[in-house]
This record gives sequence, C-alpha cells and structure tokens, in this order.
Amino acid sequence: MASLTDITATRMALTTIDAVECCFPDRVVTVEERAVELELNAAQTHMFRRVQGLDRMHYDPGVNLLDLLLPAARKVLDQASAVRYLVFGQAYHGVPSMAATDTAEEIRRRLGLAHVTAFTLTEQNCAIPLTAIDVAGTLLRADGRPEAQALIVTGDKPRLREAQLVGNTCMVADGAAACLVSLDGPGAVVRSFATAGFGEFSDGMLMPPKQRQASALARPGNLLGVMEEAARRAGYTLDDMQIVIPTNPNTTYWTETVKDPVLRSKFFIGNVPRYSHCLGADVFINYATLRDDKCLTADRPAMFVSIGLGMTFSAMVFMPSSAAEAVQP
Amino acid sequence: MSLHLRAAVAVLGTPGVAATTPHAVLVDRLVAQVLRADLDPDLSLLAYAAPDAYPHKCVATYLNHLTGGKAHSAGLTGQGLGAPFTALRVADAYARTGQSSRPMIVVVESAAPASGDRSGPTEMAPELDSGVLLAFGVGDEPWTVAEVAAFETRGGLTQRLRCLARAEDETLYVLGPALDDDFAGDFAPGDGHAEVHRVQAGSYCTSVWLALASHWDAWSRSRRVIALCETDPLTGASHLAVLLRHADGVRSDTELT
Repeated sequence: MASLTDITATRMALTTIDAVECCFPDRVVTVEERAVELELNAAQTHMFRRVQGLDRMHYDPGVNLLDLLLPAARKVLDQASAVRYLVFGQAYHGVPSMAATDTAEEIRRRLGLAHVTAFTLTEQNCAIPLTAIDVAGTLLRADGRPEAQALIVTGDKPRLREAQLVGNTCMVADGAAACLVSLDGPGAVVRSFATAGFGEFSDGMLMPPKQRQASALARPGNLLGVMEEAARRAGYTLDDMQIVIPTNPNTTYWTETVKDPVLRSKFFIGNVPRYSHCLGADVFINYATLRDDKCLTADRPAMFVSIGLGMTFSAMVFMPSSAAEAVQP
Repeated sequence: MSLHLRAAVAVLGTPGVAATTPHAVLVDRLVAQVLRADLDPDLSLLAYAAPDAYPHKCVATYLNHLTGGKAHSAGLTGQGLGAPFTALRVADAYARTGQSSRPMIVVVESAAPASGDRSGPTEMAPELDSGVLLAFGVGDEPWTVAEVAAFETRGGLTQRLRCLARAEDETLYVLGPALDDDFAGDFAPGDGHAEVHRVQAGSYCTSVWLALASHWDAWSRSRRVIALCETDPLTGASHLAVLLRHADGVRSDTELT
C-alpha cells in the first residue's frame, strides 16, 4: 500500500474542507447532441444513453479553460481569509489539456492573490483532487501557521477528441470545482487518505488491449484495497461509511469495479446523467450536490474515491461537519 | 523529523537532438544509475517545467513502478523552474509531519529538437536533455534540508541570502544562470570562506539541481552549507533551498529559518 495518512494516530491539526463550490458553463447539451459533435454513430450514441447512463451535460466549446475554472475559485475565495497556497489539480498533463504551463500562476494572478505559492499537481488524471487535498493539508501542517488556508482549483478542458471521449465509454463535459482547505476549520474533517499507483498501467489510453484488459481485471481489487485501508486508518470499516463519493466516468464503470452490491449501493452516481465526467472536478461537484441536498449526515464517516488513468487509486475518509459546509443553503 | 539527502544522480544529454526525448526515457536513465534497494520511496514527486511531449503516459506512476511501487506519486509543475523547489518543500512537509520517511524527487527536462519549434521562450526550450534524481531519508543525518523558500522577486532572495551570510560564512552558493556576478559578490566577497558555483546556461528547470547532483560526492565531503539559488528569467520569481551538514549526525546550531 502506498503512502497513507493516519491522522487519528497523531496529535497534529486536522485537515478540514471548509468550502467547496462548482460552476458550469450555461450551455447544456443532450448526450445525442454531444454525440453529433463528436461524430459518433447511432449505436455509440445509444450506448452512452442506455448503457453508460448519460443524459445531458454542460459543454461549451466557446468557454476557455480559465473561464471554466475561475468562477468556482472566486466563489470559494469569497469564503477564504488567509490563502497561502493555490493548487491547480490538473487532470490531463501536457498536450491533451488546454492548460498552459503557467495556468496555476495565471489563476493566482487573476484572483489577485499576493504572497501565495501557486503550483500544479498532475500525472494522476482524475485521481488528482484527493492528492491535492492531502498535499495542501500537509503543507499547511508543516508550516505551523494555523490560520493559513489552501485553495484547490480543479477542472480541465481536453484539446483532443480522444481525450474528450475517454476509451469510448466516457464523454468529458465542462465543469470545474474549487475547494478551501484549512487546519481545524469548521468544515468536513479529513480522517485518512490511502493511495496506490500502478505504473505497469502508466500508458493509460494508449495501453495495448491485453494490458487494458489486465488493468480492468485488477481494478476492483485495487480500488477495494485503498478503500479498506483508508477506512481502517480512520478507525472504521467500509460498513461504517454513510456514502461513497466517486468520480463520474459513467454508471457501468462502477458496476464493473465494485463487485459487492451492498458497497456499490453506497456509491453516489446521481450526477452521471446530468453532468457526465468533469475532469478532476467530479468528487467536489458530487460533494457539493450532496451537501446542497442535505444528504450528508454530520459526524458519520463518508468516503471520497477516485481512480485516475495511468493508474492511481485513492480513497479519503472524511467526517461531514454540522457547521459551515454541511448546512449551506 | 528532518529530511536529509541520501543520494543524488544526474543525466545530461548531448546537444543537437533530432527528436524530443520522452520524460520516461530520462527517468529510465536516472533510475538505472541507482541501486533499487537504495530507492524504494514512499513519496515520489516528478517535477518539471515543460510538459512531456508524450503526455499519455503517467510518468510519475511509471517512476513509482520502477522504484518499488509503494510510493504516493504525482507530478508537480506549473511554476517554471520553481517546480523542484516546491517539490522539495512538499517532501520536507511530508517528512516533518511523519507521513514520509523515504521521499524521492526526480526533475526532468527534455531538450527541444534542434529543428523543432523554438517560437516560445528560449528558457523553455533547453538545448540538452537533463534529469536529476534526489533520494531522501529522515532523521538527524548529515545534509538535512534546512530551508526551502520562494520569493516573488530577486530582491527577496537577496535579503534572505544576506541573513544567511551573516549567520554562516562557509556557505557554497550555487547560483542558477539568471543570477549574475554582481549578485554573487554580495554574499561571497572573496575574502571569506564562502564560495560561489555558477551554473552554466543551457538548462532551465534542472540547472542548480544538476550541479548539486554532479558535484554531490565532492561537496558533501568538503562543504558545510549549500545554498541553491535561482531566479526565473520568465517571471522574476526566485527560489532558495539550503542544505546543512551536521557534524557526526548532530543538528547544527546554525538556525536558518
């Protein structure tokens, strides 16, 4: 098992998620309209609606990456007081992404944040937001400035068609999210983090068929491993989780990946039909939906899970708070 | 717990490459120089300024695969030449909070092909492939990371180095290509024990780290304090990393923070 954070075993300040906001472009398209844009045939289009569970999504080719990212970041910044770090969690790295090499710095500049260290975390595809939370919390803890905060910005826009249509099973939509991390704040408390990287599958979308099959076969066990480890490190079992908040590749992905029907029933996939897959931002978008719908019970553990092509598996146990995040209108 | 440098290796290509070298190839070359038993990191950070020209591969997880497969691995970028400094800060934070005891940082930079598009900033199109692997441990061993700091301007770095110079007069200042002789003269005037090592132009993100890895065997025996200093010519942002040798494994009295 890879690097594990066991907060319960220490007396250090706890990482808290004090604000989460998400934003989407106004334009909404049906899966059929998006399929036309992607030049899919009728059978493929049918598969996305009937098999993969997609219905509609936000997608606007006229909205650039910064226009996508900044509204959510501004909404979170309105709730911040002492941002010390800005972390851009970039899903795609390099050419497939519309992000420039200085996107983190440009976000910092446009938000008017002075004396803030801005950088990009990447190379995990859609697993990156949980690592961003862990890195941000660790930096804050090590700095010894209890009032300091970190702003995490997630979301991406693929440049290439193959990156807009991941493995022909996932339609990438437009959606961004931002998250405010602090220490011992009023928000959800991060209780543990477990992550594992499987570099034998590091070729991602370019894996040959045999390797792709091996990756798919290993996926259920790899995910269950990090989920059980995160639960154990937090002092719980998976049975204790009130809900599991995953990414939104499609609905069948989780049916294939989570073999235990009881555990699978805890996975929140309600946003797949309306938002599809928003690179790097899904778990925050889903968290915001559940918070706004008052579906998170305070002081009962919940879990984020994310799988990133290439291949990273991460799970994070958190305790929703009765303050701030859990009761926002 | 203090982070200490256990091993440092570098690779450097030859000028005039015909095609961009993938980051994975640079990683292969670096890892080949180190015994696998000496690595086995629990945190693995891949730092770079310019993205891989072959971006479908997750080189951070590939690196993890090559070095034991047990690390929390990620890429750190988006800061120009500041990426390895911030990676060091992250590794230090994980060590000091007890979350990592064997962090590793790999810095990679692919040369732009001689016939390729050099329309961007020249700093982002280095002439040489280069890479550095830094393996760390935790504990009061020689060569701990005493400080990692970032400054919005070169002036901030200057002020910090003046403080360092007053506290410690045996420092080796390793200055990146953007820092000129006037800058160096402030801290190593020539009548003390301080020295300056100037890094030649040609690399961008790897520059001072290449120097550290290339001279590590000699410097680790002969120096007491090493200050890696660099200013990003694209933004003016400046960075500092200070390594301290502690006699017999005992932490030095020199406080640099």
